[in-house]
Amino acid sequence: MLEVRDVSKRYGALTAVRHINFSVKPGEVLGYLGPNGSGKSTTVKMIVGLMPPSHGHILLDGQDVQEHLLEYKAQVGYVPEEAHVYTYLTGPEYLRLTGRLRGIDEGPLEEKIQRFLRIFGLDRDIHAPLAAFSKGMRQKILLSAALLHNPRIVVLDEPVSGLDVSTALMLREVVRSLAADGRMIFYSSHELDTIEKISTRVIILRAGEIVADDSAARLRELTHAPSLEDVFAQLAVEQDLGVTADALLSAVRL
Amino acid sequence: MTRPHVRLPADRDVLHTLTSTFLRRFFDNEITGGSHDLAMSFFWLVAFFAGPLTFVSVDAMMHYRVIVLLQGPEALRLLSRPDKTTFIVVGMMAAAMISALVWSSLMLERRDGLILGTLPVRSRSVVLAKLTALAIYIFGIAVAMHAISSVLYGLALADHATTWRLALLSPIAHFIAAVAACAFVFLCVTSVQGLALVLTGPAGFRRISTVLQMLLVAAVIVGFTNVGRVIQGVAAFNQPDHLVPPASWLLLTPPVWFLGLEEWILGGAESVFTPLAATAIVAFASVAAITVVTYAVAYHRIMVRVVETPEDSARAGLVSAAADWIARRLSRTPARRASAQFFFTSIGRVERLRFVLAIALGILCAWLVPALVAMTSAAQPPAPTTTFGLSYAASAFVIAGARIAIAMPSDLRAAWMVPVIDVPGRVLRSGLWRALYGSIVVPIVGAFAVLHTWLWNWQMAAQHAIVMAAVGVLLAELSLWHFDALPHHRPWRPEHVNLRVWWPAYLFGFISLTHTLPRLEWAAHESLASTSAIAAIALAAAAILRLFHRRPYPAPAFDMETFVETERVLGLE
Repeated sequence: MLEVRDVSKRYGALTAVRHINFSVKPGEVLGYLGPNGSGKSTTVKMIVGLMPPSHGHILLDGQDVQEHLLEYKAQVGYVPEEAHVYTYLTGPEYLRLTGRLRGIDEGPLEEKIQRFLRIFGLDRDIHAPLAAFSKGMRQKILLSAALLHNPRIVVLDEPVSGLDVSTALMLREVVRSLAADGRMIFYSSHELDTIEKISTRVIILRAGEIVADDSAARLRELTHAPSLEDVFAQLAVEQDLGVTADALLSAVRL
Repeated sequence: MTRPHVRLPADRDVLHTLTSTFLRRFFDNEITGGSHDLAMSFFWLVAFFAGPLTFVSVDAMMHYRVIVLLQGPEALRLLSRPDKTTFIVVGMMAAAMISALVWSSLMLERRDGLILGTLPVRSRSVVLAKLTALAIYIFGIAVAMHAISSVLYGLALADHATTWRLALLSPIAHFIAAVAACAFVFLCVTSVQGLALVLTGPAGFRRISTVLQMLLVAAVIVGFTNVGRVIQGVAAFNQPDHLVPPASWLLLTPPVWFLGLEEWILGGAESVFTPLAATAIVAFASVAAITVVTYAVAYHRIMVRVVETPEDSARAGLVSAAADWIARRLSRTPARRASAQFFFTSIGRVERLRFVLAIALGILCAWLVPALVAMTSAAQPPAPTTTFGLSYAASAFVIAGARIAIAMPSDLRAAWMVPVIDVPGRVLRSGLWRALYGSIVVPIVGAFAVLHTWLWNWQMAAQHAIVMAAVGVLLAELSLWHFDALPHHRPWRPEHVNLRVWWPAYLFGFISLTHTLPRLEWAAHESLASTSAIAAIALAAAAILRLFHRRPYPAPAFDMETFVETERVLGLE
């Protein structure tokens, strides 16, 4: 089980997240929601081991991940929000790089790469550098790289960004299957509809603090809201949307 | 915590995988941009420098036979030293030029932190792999440049060696010295980069990177202009008939240190070479050590920075504010302001554009600084025609650099907005013209006005400022001839300059500007009317150019296929 215990992160004087607590059990899909600047990306960076918390601990199976960081990272698959890749590599080369750095043997690695490329429809672009790939194609490569090593924990940060509808729908099924296979899924997104459909639990973050943590159905029930979108609007959106729309219109008319 | 089937990769495998990835990165920097053509041009550059060295080797084979026949083997030992220096110095210049070209690839980058930070890879493996790739790259280029020529030249020397030991050592010593000199230059650049990165941080380093690149280009040009002096200096103290001690300044030049290394390996009898060899070894070891240490420190700093801060936020704010401030003062028309502001911000943020400008400024520094130093150290004030010429050359160099940058794209994917908004090209051009004039001509006119007032008097300074301001109008107009669009949004088409046909015209124009015009201006300086006439002619010429430019000609259509192709060629994202 992955546990986030009393975690805070400060950047100088700014506290990005404060005293957050949650856990992800095997087989669970945790939907992580929040407006821009609420601390989602900071949480993701701490969970994937890019940076340590300023306070608190992240534990896997009861052990602090910072104490066994390499072993921990070997069990995490991460799809970042921004598609940072070595653009001069081709898709297979990039997957080979990540696979080898994760210690996958050559035989299974090549087999996996071929399969991933075929599944994502990238097998015709094996000689094209990633610089020539569209955002969606790069996202598919990042997804493949994240799943290549059979991770226990899958961290997805806006994974459907740039994906076509059919691939996005396929990803939903993949996430469900991965969870059913006993993996821990941390899914951070703005896609409320996707989160509502695939998450077993939803956390809503506002200004670095958790304001809701339950299943989507229970949250709807508690807030008497018809959908997760309305729950989110009630709990996380600070400004009055009608007022904001009016202000925007008056700015357009200036 | 580790599951039975989860295993970490072996350090050796990680090192091998990362080293080969980083090695490829050296051929895919911001300038060459992943393009096959540009990457190939890099190899042509290496071949360009290796070619003359091979030619010198072949020439030496015949030439040395004559020396041995006429003057004996001892004379050859002395007379071959200028040639050895030529090998070393050309290799060093080539290394400096290549390091200016691959500037961004030599250091650790933000992307490394973001991609590798989430993988089960130790920081020391990343640093070690980067250093290994750097070493392979540096020595690979050095060896490629010197391998053939060193063997040939070594054979030319060995052919006339008095002992078997000397015959065997000659090619080896020459190869070691030439390759070490070449690698020394690369390591100097990486150590300076590393120190700057460690001292100023990732954001600070990006800010001063252009200045460092500019200084490197200036150093290369100053180096090229002084190659002859160094070789002559070596020849002067290696005459068989009259041995003299080397000039003290000569002992401070790195090529001579590595000549000392070569002679020391060969066991040269002269005592001067032992301390020179020691200097070469200490200098080489120092820059190598600085590179190794700063790489390790820099990696840690980059890793912390990339995950905690967005890219270049502080710098972007400064560039944006400065560009906006200048653009507001250049025009009141929104489209003109947009064109000027886009020019300034693109130059400030896109590395390939900054590199082009750094080359122009480097050439300017190499042109101006020695002349200004000579002026200040001379007892008599310089001839006014000299400073007039310098001022025009300064304007020409920077405007030419800016013009090349204008022709280069910043991000072709974003170019769709230009035809969509469809602003008249002449308005955009006008904004750009003002940007060039306001940011280049005006400061140069001001700087030289101050210099001329200090050297002579304010009347002369004012008269020259008037002419220079008018000539600046003409230069800016000339530079934008047939340019009628937003800068940095069209594909790079260097063939339009057609240098093969037009180079005599460019050369003639430059000589006229820096030699004929200053003499004309000096001849007219006693009469305000004559000076004004020169200024008026320049303005009239500019007006004629503008008039002809305004003749309607078909605007290039937005061609997405061309854009995408160029984007592929330039490796833009």
